[in-house]
Amino acid sequence: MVMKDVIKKNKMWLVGIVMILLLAVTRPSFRTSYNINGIFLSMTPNGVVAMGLMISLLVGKINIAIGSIMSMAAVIFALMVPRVGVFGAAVIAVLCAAAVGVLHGYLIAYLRLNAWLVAMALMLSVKGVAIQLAGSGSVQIQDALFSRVSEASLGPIPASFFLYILLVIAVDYVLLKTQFGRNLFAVGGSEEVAAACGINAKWLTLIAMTLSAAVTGLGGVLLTTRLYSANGNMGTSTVMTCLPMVILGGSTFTGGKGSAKGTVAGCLIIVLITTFMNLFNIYIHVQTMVQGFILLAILISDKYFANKKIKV
Amino acid sequence: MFCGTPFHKKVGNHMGDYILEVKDVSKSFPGVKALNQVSFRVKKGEVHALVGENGAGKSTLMKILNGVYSKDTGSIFIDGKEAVINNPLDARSCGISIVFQEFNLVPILSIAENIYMGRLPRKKGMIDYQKLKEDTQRVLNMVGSDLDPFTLVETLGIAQKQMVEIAKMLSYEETRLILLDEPTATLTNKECEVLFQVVADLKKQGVTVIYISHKLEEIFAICDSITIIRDGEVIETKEVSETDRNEIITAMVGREITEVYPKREGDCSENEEILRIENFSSQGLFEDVSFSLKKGEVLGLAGLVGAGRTEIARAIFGIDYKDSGEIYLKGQKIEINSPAEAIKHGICYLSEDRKLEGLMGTLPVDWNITAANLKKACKSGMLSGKLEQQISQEMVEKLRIKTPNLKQTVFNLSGGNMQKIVIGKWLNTEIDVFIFDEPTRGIDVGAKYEIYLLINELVKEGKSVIMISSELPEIMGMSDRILVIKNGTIAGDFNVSDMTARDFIENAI
Amino acid sequence: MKGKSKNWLNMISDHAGLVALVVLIFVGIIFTDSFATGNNISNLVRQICINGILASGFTAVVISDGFDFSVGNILSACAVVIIPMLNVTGNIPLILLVSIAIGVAFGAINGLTGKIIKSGPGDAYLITLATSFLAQGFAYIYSKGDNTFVDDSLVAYRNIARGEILGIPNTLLCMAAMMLLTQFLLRKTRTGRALYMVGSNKVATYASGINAHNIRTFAYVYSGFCAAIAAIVMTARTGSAAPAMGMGYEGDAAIATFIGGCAAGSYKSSMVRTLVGVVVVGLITNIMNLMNINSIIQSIVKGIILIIVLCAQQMKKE
Repeated sequence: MVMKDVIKKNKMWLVGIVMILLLAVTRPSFRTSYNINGIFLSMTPNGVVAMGLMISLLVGKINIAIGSIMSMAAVIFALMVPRVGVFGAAVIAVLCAAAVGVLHGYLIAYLRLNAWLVAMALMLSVKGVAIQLAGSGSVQIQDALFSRVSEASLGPIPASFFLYILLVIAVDYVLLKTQFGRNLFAVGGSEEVAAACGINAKWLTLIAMTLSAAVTGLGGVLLTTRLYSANGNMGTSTVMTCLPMVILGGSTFTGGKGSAKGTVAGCLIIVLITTFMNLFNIYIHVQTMVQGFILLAILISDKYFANKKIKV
Repeated sequence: MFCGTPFHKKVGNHMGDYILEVKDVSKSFPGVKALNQVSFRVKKGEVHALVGENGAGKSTLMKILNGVYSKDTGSIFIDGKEAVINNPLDARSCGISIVFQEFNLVPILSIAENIYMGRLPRKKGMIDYQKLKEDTQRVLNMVGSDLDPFTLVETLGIAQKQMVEIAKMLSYEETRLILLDEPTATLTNKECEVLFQVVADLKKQGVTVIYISHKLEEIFAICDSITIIRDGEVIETKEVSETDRNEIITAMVGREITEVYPKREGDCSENEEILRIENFSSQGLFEDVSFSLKKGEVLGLAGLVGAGRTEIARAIFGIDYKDSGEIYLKGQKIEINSPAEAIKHGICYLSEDRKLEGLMGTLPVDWNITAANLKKACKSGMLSGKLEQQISQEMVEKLRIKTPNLKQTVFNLSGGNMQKIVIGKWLNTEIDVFIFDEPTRGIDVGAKYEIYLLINELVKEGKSVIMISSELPEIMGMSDRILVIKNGTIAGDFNVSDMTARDFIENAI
Repeated sequence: MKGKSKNWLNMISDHAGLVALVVLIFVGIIFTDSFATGNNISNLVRQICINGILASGFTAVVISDGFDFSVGNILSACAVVIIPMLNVTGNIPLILLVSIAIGVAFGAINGLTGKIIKSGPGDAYLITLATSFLAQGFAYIYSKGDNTFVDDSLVAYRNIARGEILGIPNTLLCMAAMMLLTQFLLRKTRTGRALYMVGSNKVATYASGINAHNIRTFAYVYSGFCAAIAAIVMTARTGSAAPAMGMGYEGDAAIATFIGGCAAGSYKSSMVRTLVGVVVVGLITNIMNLMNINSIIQSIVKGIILIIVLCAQQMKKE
């Protein structure tokens, strides 16, 4: 009985382990430290952005503008590095992302605008801002400290990955161990019931959207450590990549469910799928189609059973 | 805002030993006077029953006590002090809590997190899950439940959810008065026993309970006093020990039927059968329901709210799933799996929630009237605006629908006119069997009478009607025959001429 | 007093599209030099035609309470398939059919997924987003990432977008044809009427005997069909097919539909409103081009306009 529960609770991790074993056995190139390094490198920025998405889904408001916010933060970071140094630039980038989150949260929580259309409008305009700031091209980052930080690693594990782990621990703590975190679940589960218990649902939604954007911005900064540059188009497929991660990690579209650790598991699985496709030389645009299929499959599996009892 | 002392702290003298006094409370809605100078008192620590038919005003009274509605006139006294209750949070700080039929729980969270939502116990800034578990277990024990505090609410059954709600109320120290609204409506016998024990325990702990129910056996088993409400007025308050079933039924029912229902000519008892339902079952909703409908007959489905009448009707119409059952139309077996199929067979259903299911609110009057029969509004295959207007104008005149013009968006109209438009939609279609679900709910007296006339006209033209209504006078005034539904099964079958109001209550309760 | 001012506000928001149109014309005349020239106007007309065709399908989807992210990429998918085929066969009716088949297929994916999950509000965004990626991937795979060009010999095909009939540019005629077809669909057919009904109240529509899910599926199929037609006009105009050809066009289609004043289940929504919206979006782009504002800022401006339009709609609801 206990074994069954353990398996059920950690099923995503088990799937991940099975996939790793399969790949390790069938493809020797998987076992190289180059490849393992690549997996960590891929997980870090995507995982961080997925964390941001998870926070917004927690209160039931999907944030499809994450791709654009990520790009914008990356571009701002790249532009600011020569002016205020690495840490200053990172702070500014994250703050700018947070500002977008504040606007987003205000529009959907206080003005009660349609969450989807607002997110779409933001996706368009923020992307435009990012491209504009980057001067329609890429912004290169040439900074000694930055290079050192980007290169730093412990064996195959890059330093930025540890930052990711720190973030996971922090988010996990807040979600599980603080009143604020539990209130987010309450608001996502049912806004009316939460409000009836004295929780300020609007304020919490605003905060959640701000945090979501800020974390996404951090993800954008971390992405630059891989590419040494930033441009406005980086985030085009982010939503398609990160949404399945978050859903596999246990979140639902309607809100009230989510887990930091689960999202890491989901991130691992999606990265492994991409690695799988790369190692088997599957054309990148097939990968795009696969992403589309995965999203449709997740939608169907999530909602088909939920709506089975009603006729329309 | 008035805040009282927690129930478990016994403070010396109180002003009188009434915990709640309602004095001359009245409440009106447009066209309807729901409560008229209602006054009664509830003693501290007693279990006080509140009975009355559907629509008598119990629900309105409860919502006023709970801060959802505001009273027009009158006062409410808690422990002798006047209380101002403008919203549910006020009600809670006065110590009043209510368990409605629709639960106030978040299914996706655990029992513990639902009970202590927004006020989880903390230790050094972190949530203290151990204390949360202990606190939750403590209040769960108060209601006799040994559920694991971290069970997710979505996995619980209705009875268990009810227990969680009660436990949640008890977790607030200020709670002194709990209102239970039809708590046993959906419970099995065994679960009822558990609830009765809980009520007894609450009483022992000094919590006062107001118990709203139709089930007289229960009231005699666990309640101390009883207040009877009829047509928005308090008839009397008595000690349960000083009265009996007969007296209570008389008080609930006894009045002149002052409303006049239009007379209908003709006798349909010899007519052939047009519709027959056999062995209709849907788990948890209704079981093994069979009946038949004659041509030109008005068959009333009477019963208490939640008895399953709407569910049966919706299953016939194909808008909800059923587990099993057969339908025979004019003796031939037919399959109905969707409203479209039902309509093809000439059966229609007018939902009790006409705004939600009957009308397209943002569309104009004429589009709503032609909605179920667009073919008729077509000329050579294309929709003809002129033809549509003609059809709608005829219907508006025939049904005396009050609207400034045919292009008026429907959600702006009054309830009575909305209902007429829905009727007009079906009159515009080839329908032989009309199923009305609460046809006059929320409609003013004048429009009600017009709808009764319409129903009579339908019958005159040879149509057949099944009418679901929770207003006893209405169903007795309009039907030829009445089926009393109780707990998803048929409890009685009466010819109206042979039946009295008493028969209904005795069978429905 | 308050009632009176609210009436004015309602009137303006009701005809927001027309108001915007008039305002923009003024802005164009005052703030730019070449706005009112014949050359500019014919430019404007040519530019709005693709959007006009896409917006036709988009309007049908919006009226039935949906959203279609995928129109742009469906256009690309159709384009990359038909041009190589055209170069080989030279058979214009054939590629017309093929384009429609592809557009309809992707539209069906949108619609049928919605039917399977008995979609509620908001699901449409995710479904069509996913399909958008499917179409994009397909377009890149089929074209191997390369652009294809229409053979010089196929003058007839190019003339679909190049010539004029009685002084009216062919592209405009194509747009007019699609808009007229759509208007006929919406106002004169039972299916079109059902779109309004489903958008207003899908449960009541189902209870009135109409299969709400099939109607919504149709809306998406029709949107795919419009994207297919737009693909033909666009490839005829540019003489090429690129896998990213249609990307981003869904934004313009959406803005045009919403700014024009169309909304789910709203009886007043029709192609008349969408036409106004299409012209407005065209004017915005045109004026910004004349002012030499780069395309990035243009998309920012468009995003802001969308938010303002949504705010206005929301306030009207309350």
